[in-house]
Amino acid sequence: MGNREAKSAAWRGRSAAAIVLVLAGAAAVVGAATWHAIPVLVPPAKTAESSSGSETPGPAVEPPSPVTPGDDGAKGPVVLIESEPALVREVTVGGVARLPSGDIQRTYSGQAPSQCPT
Amino acid sequence: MTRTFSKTSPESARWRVWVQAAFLLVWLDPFMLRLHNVCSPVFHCYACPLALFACPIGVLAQFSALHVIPLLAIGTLVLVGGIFGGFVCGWACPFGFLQDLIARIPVPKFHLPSWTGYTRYAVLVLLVLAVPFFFGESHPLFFCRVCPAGTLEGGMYNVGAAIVKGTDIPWPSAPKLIILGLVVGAMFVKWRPWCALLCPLGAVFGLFKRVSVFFLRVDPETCISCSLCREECRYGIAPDKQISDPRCVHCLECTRCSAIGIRSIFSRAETAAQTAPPSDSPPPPE
Repeated sequence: MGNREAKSAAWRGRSAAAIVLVLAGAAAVVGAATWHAIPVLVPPAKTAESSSGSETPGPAVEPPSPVTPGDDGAKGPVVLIESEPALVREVTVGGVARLPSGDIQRTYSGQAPSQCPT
Repeated sequence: MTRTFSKTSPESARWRVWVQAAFLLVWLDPFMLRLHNVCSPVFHCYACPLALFACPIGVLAQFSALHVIPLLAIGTLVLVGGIFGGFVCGWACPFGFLQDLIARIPVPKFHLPSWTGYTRYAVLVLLVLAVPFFFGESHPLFFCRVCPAGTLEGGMYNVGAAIVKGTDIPWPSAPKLIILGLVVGAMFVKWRPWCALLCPLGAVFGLFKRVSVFFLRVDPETCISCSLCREECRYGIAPDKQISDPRCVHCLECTRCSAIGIRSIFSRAETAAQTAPPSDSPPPPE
């Protein structure tokens, strides 16, 4: 009788643990897809690189301002709130990096890389 | 119930190679969808141009470097591990499939001591989590910079593509090539050496083998401790003693013995065994 009860208790414990894990995993996936968002700094696009493809040289422009947090200037980085799935895609191509300040910054401007750099 | 031991692999085990091949076709992104915003539960590098999903280990390492909790990767691993446990390793993983195919070459194989399976946890904690967290993605020991799957599936693919196109060949770094060579060489003389020694994803799924929905179980009333299952196990595991060994990839070779089988938490036989009253107890009143 005791052995049967012990087995029953172990079985119930295992079942409960499995169900809790499945629900927790599903909740984490749903939460990542719907709620979890991460701010990413987008460096300003270089104005010397014209997207129109014009042959005439444009006016001389200043180099892009260094990306620093709290930069309120017109040339400062844009803060983009990315969902976690979007950030997962970004990391697969090395598209984001962590700054010494702790902010996350996109490593490219314009078209994203196509392959992981590692 | 008397114990029987089949001389041939059980039918479920014989189907395994076809299931692995079917999953491989899925992971290789036949429709070029490149859903890299979704994590797969298997070890397949997202640097591979044919990868459908993102590698969960790569995502864990990258997010560790960013100091961001990867809910998507963690949730995927917990969800899949909680349901299937070690079955993912033995039935779905393409890198495991490659190891199984190479190991079929008739070369003498050797076993490693059971404690070597814990080196996977060192790889998981150090190379996947700690090094990226403290030193960033550019550190030489960042997991993706030494991963043989990335070297093979991404690096070698790019080398082959460059050879075909006649362009400059982007050779992977020497450490990556050396690690790949050692791992592939070990595949000839040991069943699943990467899985047994170094795979961080296998280390994660190994944690779920005692609590997953589907699992292997030894019937203590049928088992006669003949040790034949240990002889059939290719991974040096004693199924009759430790059926939930973290190194087990659920190849099901040990299920030749009728005492070992696949169970689930919803198994009717187990439920009946748990709820049936003892035979010596009086019947309930009508």
